Amino acid sequence: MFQVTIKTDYLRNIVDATSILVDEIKLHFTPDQVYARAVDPAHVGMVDFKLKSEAFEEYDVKEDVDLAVDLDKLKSMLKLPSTEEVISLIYEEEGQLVVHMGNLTRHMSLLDTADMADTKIPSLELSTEIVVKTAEVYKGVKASEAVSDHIALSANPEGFELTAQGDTDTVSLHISKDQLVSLKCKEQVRSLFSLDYFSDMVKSVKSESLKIYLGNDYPVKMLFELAGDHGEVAYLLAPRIESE
Amino acid sequence: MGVVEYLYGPGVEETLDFVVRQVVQSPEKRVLMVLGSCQVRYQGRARSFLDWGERILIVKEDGTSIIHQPSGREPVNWQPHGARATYLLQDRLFTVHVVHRKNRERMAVSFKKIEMVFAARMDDRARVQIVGMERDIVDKIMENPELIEPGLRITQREKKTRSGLIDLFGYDRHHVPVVIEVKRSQATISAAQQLRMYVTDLKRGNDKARIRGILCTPRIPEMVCRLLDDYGLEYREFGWQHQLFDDQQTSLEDY
Repeated sequence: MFQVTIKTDYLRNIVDATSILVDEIKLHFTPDQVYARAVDPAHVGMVDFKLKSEAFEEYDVKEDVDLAVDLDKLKSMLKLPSTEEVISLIYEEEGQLVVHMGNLTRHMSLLDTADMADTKIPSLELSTEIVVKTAEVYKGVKASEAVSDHIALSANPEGFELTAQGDTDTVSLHISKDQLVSLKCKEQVRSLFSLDYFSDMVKSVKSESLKIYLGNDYPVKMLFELAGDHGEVAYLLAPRIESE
Repeated sequence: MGVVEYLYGPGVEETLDFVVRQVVQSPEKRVLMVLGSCQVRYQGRARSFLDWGERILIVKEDGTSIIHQPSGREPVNWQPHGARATYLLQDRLFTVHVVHRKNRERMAVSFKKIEMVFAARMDDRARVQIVGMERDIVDKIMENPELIEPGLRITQREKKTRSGLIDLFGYDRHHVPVVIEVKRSQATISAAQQLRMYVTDLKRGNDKARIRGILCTPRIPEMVCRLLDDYGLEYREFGWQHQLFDDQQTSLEDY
């Protein structure tokens, strides 16, 4: 049983970041943070987020509670024409979450957590770390969407590159080392990804910069901050095998 | 492609020598193809003899052997996998004996003139994937009955009636029983009649019983629509997207 109050924007960010992969999510409330992990039905993309209690206006969680929510329901609440800056979630009764937004109250039935398996995070060794301005990556993604369904991310000690090869056209965005926020890269790495997933992920990044961990024909991990520095979202995305 | 070895217009002895070196003695499995003029004798479930003609013989790496004439989809003679081929010279002819012990069948192909012979190591690990089967559509409707109409509930798949199996059975939002027959291609008169029989079976002689029948197919010709109207049955044009799996996308479970 708990009661928390959070800025509407922060909740919206979380719902946006997770709903690109899943319709339902199991939220773990602990006395000092909320976290959740979810993988899409095809096991291609994964999201792992945590939000410390400091990110909340009010956070009163005495013991661990797992809640499974239908993200569409939360989304529909957040879409309402309301200027409320905060939203309160109260869990008092088994199977039901009470959401207060100003003078509006919704009793939201919860899903059965027993049906939802815990998501295992693969252990990855990713040597290259790129910190890049989100706007740059966003620009590359938008340009790539016009020519291809796939995007290649590559890096070498000199810089980071996004390339999309279509049937007739090619797009590439090169960001040299000095234009990046930072770059740790010892050797050339490159992996190819589905642009569908990658662009959804990039578009839900709310922080100014984005940390990308990259390998060779290996999953990519993307990390960004949420709610100031009180929260963090990590995305994992499985690569495509490059055809010869 | 692995190794590909070939000869154009070899003599019969040269062909035998080539096959022995490139197929029989090859450490890896190879596919053999011979193009030329041949005779075929077959003995097994029946006996047959096919006189001289220009044909293609393929002996696959699993023993499957096929002889094709210049036209037609079906091979003129064949042996399934598990057959064994042996090669020899018989009466100055390059002869392939294909014996299937389990099926007690044998086929002998004798070439007098060979235009081309090749042996190849072929690499192909892909499997054919088929979409758009009737079952796929039934699955889709099972998953989401609202595709047919709001409030529809499916309670049974492959429900038995005297006339056969009903693809899907359920109830609409007014709790009226609904029989759904799915066809993967254009609706035919016989599909309409089949649906009518199912509905009649379920009415058990009580013509006043209210039972709905819906024919779901991607396309319904005007004539079939009229027939269904006459029968008091309904139809839905139910399209779907063919989507093949993307075998180049890896999964996070692989890591």
